[in-house]
Amino acid sequence: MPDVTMPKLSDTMEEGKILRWLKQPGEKVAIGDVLAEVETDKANMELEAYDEGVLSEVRLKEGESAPVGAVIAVLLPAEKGKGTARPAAAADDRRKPEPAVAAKPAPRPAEPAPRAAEAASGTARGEGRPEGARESWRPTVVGRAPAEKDDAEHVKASPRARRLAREHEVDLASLAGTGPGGRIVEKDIESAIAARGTAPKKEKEPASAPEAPRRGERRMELSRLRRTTAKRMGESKREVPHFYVSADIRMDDAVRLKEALAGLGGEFEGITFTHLVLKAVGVALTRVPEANASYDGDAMLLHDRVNVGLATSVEQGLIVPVVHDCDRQPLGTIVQQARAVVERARAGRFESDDLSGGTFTVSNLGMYPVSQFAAVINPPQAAILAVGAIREVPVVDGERVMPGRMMTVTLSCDHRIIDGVIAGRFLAELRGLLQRPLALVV
Amino acid sequence: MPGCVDYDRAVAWQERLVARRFAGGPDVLLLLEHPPVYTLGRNADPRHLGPARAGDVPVRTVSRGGQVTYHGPGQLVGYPVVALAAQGRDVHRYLRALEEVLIASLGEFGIAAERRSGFTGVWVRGRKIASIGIAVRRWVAWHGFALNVGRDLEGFASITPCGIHDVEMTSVAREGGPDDVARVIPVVLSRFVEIFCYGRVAFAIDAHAAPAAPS
Repeated sequence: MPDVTMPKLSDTMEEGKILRWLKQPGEKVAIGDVLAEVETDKANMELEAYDEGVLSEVRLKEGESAPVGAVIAVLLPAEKGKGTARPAAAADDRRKPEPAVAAKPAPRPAEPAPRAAEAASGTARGEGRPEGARESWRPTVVGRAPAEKDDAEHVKASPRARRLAREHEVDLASLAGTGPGGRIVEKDIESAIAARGTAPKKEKEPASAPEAPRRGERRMELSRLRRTTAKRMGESKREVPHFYVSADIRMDDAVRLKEALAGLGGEFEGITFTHLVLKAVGVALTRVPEANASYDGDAMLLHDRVNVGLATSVEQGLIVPVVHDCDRQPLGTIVQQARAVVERARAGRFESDDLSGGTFTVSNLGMYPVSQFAAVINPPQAAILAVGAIREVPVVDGERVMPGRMMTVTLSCDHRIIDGVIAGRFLAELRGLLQRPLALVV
Repeated sequence: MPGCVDYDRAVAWQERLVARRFAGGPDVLLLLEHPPVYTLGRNADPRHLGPARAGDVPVRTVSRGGQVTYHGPGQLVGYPVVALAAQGRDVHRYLRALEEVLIASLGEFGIAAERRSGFTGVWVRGRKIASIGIAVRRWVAWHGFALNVGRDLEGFASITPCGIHDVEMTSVAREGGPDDVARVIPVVLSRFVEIFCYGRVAFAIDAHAAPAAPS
């Protein structure tokens, strides 16, 4: 029968202290279960079971110490066949000679079936952490519902709803189901189709005697949104004296950071470069507040809040959902808010301040092979940042030329209130933040 | 620096990273600041918390080793999630290596820091500048160190840090170094990478896909 011994956590460790027992005598123990927490110096180690059975005896009280190798508890074998089903990886450990096993350190990460190991750890950690605590810090379902297109398969929907959606080309991912557990049912598809049917009609306002299209042309009425865009962009280009300043930004670290954060999941799930840029712009604007301003006749308004709009293409045109407080919000919050607000915008379900309060705009065409472009200012804002794709380019580093990743951004400025110096200072801050992007996370 | 990472959230990140490490994920170093919080190690004496217990600052009991400590803005907190299998499976050696990272970093700011035998942590002329407390789960270490950077050490005033009576705290700024955490981060990061011999690093968050060497 396997004894549980005081583990050797270090070559210089002589004794260890039991901080607490997580299993009590009489309790069933599965391989991988945490039996106790052991302390040496300022390190706490979770002592795991390398055998299964029933904890029959505990020889050390909490707070007591014992030398390395001393028996601290005894496990009795459990009834055959009733043992907890454990993955194959764990079963291997069981076959090792007993005394050695008990004193041996934990399974190594390199051992087979790491997945199984991970799964086991999930159940084995009995730290008194309430189940679900791990999830609780996740942003509470901000716009979680309609996600990327590949999610269509994972959307909960009844088979009839799916068929109907296919027939009428309704994107399931864009719907919020009303069935049990948010399941999309036939009725939801029907109302989506109905809504679609009426929406374009509304836009078809009595066209004022349209010119008959010539041969080889097709006349398409502009949506209301497009008309607004047309009007405002026209005004902007006519009224606002634009000038343009570009900067190249090394993105090697930002690329690595983004990948690392994406792997972290949680609130970073779905992170894109746009989110990093939003955060960097937010912080840069606090350092160069003159760029977070708007023209107001004989005055310029400097905004306290930093609300960055994100130029977003939707079916009917262009809209600019706003991510509020990009300077102060942690990056993870920005990721979730930006995703949610863009999602709502695409679905046409805005919340009250989704489109208002913007003090600056970012337009990112980085998903296309666009090296750089200049955007039209979104009045009354003082500036807009146009973001190009990240390109692989040769970079001169001292005397060497090495591959690097470069992104070119172009700031369009309203020259009535912004001068080149402000643009330069803003771009210098932005560049610094994106080239050493760690500060964006903290 | 805008924004700190809430303590509970940082713990959740670590839990996730530890699980990822089991599954063959990379070693990761998180470098961050916390909003004010008192934390008690598993066997901390709550009396060491003193009057802080009744204050507005939240108190957390955590699974790391060590006693009571304080975290707050102006303190660089480092949470290395490291598979000790690749580092010799020696918890004490790991603690000494963390001390070495901090001592070497402080050296770059002209601060002569040292160990004090029997008192894990980093000290400058008898005053404590950094605290260390770790937890180990299946030979993956988490939790880590807290280096005082800013001048303000008020948060420690009401507690008995680390359970050591009459210990005086100090900080990088008070010892003549920078008082900006952002300036300390790159130094600590590069020393960490050097001392733990990481070949490839993608930032404090991520990446050395450590060959999980079965030793």
